[in-house]
Amino acid sequence: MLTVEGLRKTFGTLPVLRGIDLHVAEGEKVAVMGPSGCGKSTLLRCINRLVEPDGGRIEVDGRDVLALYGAELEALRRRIGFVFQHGNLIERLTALENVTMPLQLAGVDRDEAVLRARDALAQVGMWNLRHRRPPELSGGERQRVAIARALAQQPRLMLWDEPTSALDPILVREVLDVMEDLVRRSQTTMVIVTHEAAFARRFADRIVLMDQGRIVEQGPASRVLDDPQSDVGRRYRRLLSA
Amino acid sequence: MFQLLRRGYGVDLALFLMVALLLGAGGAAGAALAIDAAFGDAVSHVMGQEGEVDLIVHLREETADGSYPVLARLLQTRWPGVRLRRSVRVAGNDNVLVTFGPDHRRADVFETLPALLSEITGYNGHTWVVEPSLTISGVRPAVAEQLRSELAAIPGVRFPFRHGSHVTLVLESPAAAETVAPRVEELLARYRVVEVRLPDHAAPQQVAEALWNALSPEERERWVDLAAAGGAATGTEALVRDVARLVDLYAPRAYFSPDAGLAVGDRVVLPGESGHGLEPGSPLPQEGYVLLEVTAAGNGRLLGRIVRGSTDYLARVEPGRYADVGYRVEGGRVGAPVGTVTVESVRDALQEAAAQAGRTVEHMESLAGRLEAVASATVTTLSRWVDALLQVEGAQRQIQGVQSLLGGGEEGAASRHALLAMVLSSLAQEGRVPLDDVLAGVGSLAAGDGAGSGEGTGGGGATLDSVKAELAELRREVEAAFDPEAMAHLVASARRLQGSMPSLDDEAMIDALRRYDRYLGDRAGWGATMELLVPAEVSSDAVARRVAEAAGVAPLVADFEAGLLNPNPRASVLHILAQVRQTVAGIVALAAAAFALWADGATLLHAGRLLDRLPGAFRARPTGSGRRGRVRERAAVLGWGAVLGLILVAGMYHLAGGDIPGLSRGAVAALGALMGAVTGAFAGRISPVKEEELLAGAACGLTPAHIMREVVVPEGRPGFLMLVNRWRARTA
Repeated sequence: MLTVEGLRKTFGTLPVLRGIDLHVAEGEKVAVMGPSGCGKSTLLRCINRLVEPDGGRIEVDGRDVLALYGAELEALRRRIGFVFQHGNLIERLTALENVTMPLQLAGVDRDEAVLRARDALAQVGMWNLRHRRPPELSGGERQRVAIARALAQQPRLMLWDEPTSALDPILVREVLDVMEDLVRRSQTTMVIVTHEAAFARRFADRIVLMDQGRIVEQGPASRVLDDPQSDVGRRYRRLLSA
Repeated sequence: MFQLLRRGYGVDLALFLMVALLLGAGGAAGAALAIDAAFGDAVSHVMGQEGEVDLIVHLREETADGSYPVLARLLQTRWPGVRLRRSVRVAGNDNVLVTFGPDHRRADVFETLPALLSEITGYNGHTWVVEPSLTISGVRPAVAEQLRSELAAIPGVRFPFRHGSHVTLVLESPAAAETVAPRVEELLARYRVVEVRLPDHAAPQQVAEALWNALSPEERERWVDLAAAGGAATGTEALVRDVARLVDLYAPRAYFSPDAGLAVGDRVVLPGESGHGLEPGSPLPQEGYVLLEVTAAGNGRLLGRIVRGSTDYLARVEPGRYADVGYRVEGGRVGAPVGTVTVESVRDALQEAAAQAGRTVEHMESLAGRLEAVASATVTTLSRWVDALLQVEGAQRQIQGVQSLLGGGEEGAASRHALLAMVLSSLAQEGRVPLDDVLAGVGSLAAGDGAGSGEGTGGGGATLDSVKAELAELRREVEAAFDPEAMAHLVASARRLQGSMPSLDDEAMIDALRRYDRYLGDRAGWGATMELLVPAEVSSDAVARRVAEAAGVAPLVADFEAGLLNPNPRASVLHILAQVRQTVAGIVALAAAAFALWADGATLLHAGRLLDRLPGAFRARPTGSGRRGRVRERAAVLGWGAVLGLILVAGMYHLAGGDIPGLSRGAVAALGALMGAVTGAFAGRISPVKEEELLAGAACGLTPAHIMREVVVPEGRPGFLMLVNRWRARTA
């Protein structure tokens, strides 16, 4: 489903990705973890080309992402659901409109768009609040709407960029419950950047540990966290033990 | 911005520009028109409707209530049918609109009116607004008089009239202006007014005289000395010019030898009463001398005036003419001799003539007395002679003898002449009896002897009656030869002439002339000014050359148009209003463009930069990566901003009809570019674009156009872009 080879990215003089190789099979749920600034978000944004890498190769569903431009790239992005750390909702639109707008602009019939939005919002438990605007929602509610927006596109690949990092602990649980439910039920390939080690251990098929722009360790979730070979893994184990 | 242009947002941009330009320019023009309409109404209220009013009289507000009735009475008495209407008060003046009846719309009425108005207490000026008309401004009064007949002859001109330095042509109809104006301009273009400024020591009257003497007859026909033509701009100046001319004619003039090596401005001393033979190098005499100054040179002559002294000190050659040896004055001392200098004084000649007249008067009085005595003696002698005849015995016989002596025909005439000769030979004796009595006695005597039949002996036929008649005729002839009344009148006139000779001395006259010259010229370091009206093809340099050749002075010259054709006052006011309108339109347009840049330009430029920065926007490396990329990106934003600003500012400005004084088209364009570039530089800070929303849109696979319409613009400021977006967005 997703192939990343030798991915490099430097911001100014700071190398952020130093040759990332990652393969994600279709339907696989991969959690990417690591300390802040290790390049996790940059990796995600390079995958759907919100950030231009300096080198390497990215293939999504057999298509070379770095070779796409304009409408082709936009079409690919429509097949990749992206959940931002802060949700990035359109504040003047209601929850429902936030979900239906991308669908309608992609050419989906309005009724169809509303149906898909309904399903997505229902999945995240936000259908009842569909007429509220983001300023009227809590942080967790906004993030759930953002998740619904991504789901409504029926993506082949979902990328989650630390969806709970901006939330307070109470709201984190709210969003994690949604995520857990989705991960358990959905067949969509997912790459989730998260600091929630417990979540990752419970629901990820594979954990990828990054540090200083490199993948330092990856493997089944339980093995990486129970028997880490890397320093990062060991730190996460200590965290879980605490 | 490239993404916006290339990826489906170009139409939106074009619509935005069209709407912004139309609404912005329309708003600016509308604001200007509203002000224009308000001012236009005010103008009509102040000046009346077109053609309704001939004149606006300004009365000081504090006296207007009392002045207005006086004005009305004055005008209506003088020109019945004139209409007056009080108008608005402006700047401390009450304005009265005056309209003359058709019979009184004439040049003589309009030209005499100001003098009449000046008599009214509180009068504070007037403004002619007669329509339809054209006004020529900057016209010297003498020029106006020179051109009056030509202007009046232009078809379409009803009559011209002069007021101050303007000439207004009242037209037959408004349409006539189109044909009259070119003719007037053509007429004015045929002439130039050349102002000739003379050095301080030059005498304008003498320079003018020298110049005129040097002109050809053809030139004298076409050149006009405006001062001589009565060209004083004011009554005072005209009076001073006339007095200066009179005094100049009266003042003594010095003539120097052309070989003396003198130039205008040089001074020469005549010893006069101080004695002859001044030594070069010696100081000037203390008194009794005459100091001259050379004031004009040319045509082989050197002219001058007395600076100090009087012709009384000089040796007289003949009445009014003097001569002496002159010496150049060098450094305040006597210099080299310059030969004989002649001074002619009209005053002295007139005074001499008056003295001669006085002596003649005395002779005439003496002669009159003698003539009267002669006539009286003649009459007395005649009386005495007849009386003597009567007293002699045998008078009848003698009378008969006389009668025969007094025969008719030629012989009789000779006898009468002989009789007269006898009488005249007795002039020394006084008469004792009046002649009338004698004649009456002769008549009765003749009637008594019957000898007065007219048929006397010797073929004469003379009678005593004839003698009486002859004596009476002789007396009439003598009396006719002497008219006491006419003689008395002649004597009195001669005495008056003698007594009326002015007694200005030479120095006083020259001092007065200098003051007149300064008044008329009034320029530091330069003396008087001559003004000449010459054909347009004569350049001011040519005039200067002619003056220099004729009078030996180096003048400063400047040339002016004979006049400048202006539209009528209403048109002038409306022109000013048009300028105000254009200025207001320009300012409002600039403000509207600035608003468009702040409200919409910043949004477009910032969003455009973010979208251009997204990967996949171009097939090449995105502009935002690397230091060089950031510089390119910034330059692109500034460039796009300049273009946007140029289009908005220049477009609104010119579409609105804006024209701010001092702001050229190029300056407007530069200003627009600058405003746009500044907007671009600060777009990130002043635009309401939320980068995270834009990114979310990109992540959802929205096109740049969709991102703008559905995400960016609806979240932006209410402006022209949002207005256009309502038609273009699907969800906004």
